[in-house]
Amino acid sequence: MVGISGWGAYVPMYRVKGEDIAEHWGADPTTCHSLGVPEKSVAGPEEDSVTMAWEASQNAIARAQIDPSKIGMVFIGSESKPYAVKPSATILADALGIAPHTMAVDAEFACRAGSEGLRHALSMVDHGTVEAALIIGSDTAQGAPGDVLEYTAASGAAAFVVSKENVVAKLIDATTYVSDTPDFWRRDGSPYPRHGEGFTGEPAYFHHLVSAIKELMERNNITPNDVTYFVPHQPNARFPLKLAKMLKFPKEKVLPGLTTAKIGNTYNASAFMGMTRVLDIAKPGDIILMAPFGSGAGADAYLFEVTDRIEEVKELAPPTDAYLDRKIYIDYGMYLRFRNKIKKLVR
Amino acid sequence: MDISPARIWREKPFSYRLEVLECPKCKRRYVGNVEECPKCGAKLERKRLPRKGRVIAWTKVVQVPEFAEDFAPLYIGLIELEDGSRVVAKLVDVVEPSDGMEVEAVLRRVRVDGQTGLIEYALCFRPIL
Repeated sequence: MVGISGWGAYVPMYRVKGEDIAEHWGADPTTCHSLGVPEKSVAGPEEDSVTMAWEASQNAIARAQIDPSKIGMVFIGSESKPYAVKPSATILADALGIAPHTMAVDAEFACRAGSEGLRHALSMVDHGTVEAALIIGSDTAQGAPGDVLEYTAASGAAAFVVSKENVVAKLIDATTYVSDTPDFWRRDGSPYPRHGEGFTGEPAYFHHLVSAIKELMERNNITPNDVTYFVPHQPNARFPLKLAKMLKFPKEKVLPGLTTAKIGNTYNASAFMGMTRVLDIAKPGDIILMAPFGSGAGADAYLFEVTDRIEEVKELAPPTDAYLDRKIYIDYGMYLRFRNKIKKLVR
Repeated sequence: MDISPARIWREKPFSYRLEVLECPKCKRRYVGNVEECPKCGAKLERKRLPRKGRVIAWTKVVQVPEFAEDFAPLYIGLIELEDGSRVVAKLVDVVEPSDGMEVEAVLRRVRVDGQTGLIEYALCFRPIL
């Protein structure tokens, strides 16, 4: 039986309010509320996608109760790597005590790179190629100053240990749906992404997710009634609810995993973060449908069944809510400094 | 180059994992890559220090060196770990530290070499979550 044996999240403690962003640009102060994201998490100056991944991984490893040296693959998905060339995965493998006998992968597929890793891990562990794998989604998401993305592009990380031992969420099935869709991109050397405005919705987010999820549900002969929690990718708090309506999932099955409504979109950690919060509250026998999405574009849909072990390991690391509720507000100027958008010119 | 690749590579066991070398005979501890105890000659053993402790003393640094400009002001703490060992490290996620504050180790950026050089990571301490 292959599945997730440990889960962990990390969210930096700083928050900036969407109304402060709007005020700075003379923009509509209700925009952030219409996106359902009143505030977003901001990584501190000494944080980046590696440091956030480290803490999420510590939490996942603690819950998996695994000797880190048994992990045979470290896979990090991020679109905010500290280095363009030099792997984040080796820093993590060394700092977490997993190195040197492990594979180490940095992947890019917009917000879905981490999920590509999860698919690889589930398959490789199932086939016995590696005993266990550590999968991380981590981003200090970029939004150009003044762009609408600034209201939602947030910072956070989520990690899972995949193994056959100590499973808390058994994999039932998974599907993937990809196509070349130019909805969101960042060119090499460019500091901020660009997007196709309205084009990010129907042909990208909704089409890919609906296609992957429908295939999964048809193949397993299930309806929304059979699913306890539905955790899709969440670029804002509006899209996931619209998606749920299209697929006939009641709102109550989406809201527990809708962490974007509290901290914004953590990109590669987006659906993963929701999944960590759902695992914090899940009961044995619950069925979870998680569906990450990445621009460019692709979606995965996973069906997991929660096992009895979940109750034994919840307390072994801080719950996701401990990070969501820990916060210090900063103003827009401090946000610009923390995220390297303004630099001191005096040297 | 302000951050030496050799130095951060050499210091990794301690800065990433709080690993020290301990003499099984005289119990002296060392950070680095020595094999035998310089005092009594016994073969040193690798040991990982606990990740939790409390702040014994701290200071705030406002005039910071160039490599730490992004992080100013800096809080530096003397921390007594759960086994009684004492380490000096950066305090992070603190508004105002206090003596006796319970802290735990977390990985953070501690130095950044301009726009093109290396980034140095090390364990720092923050209030226990």
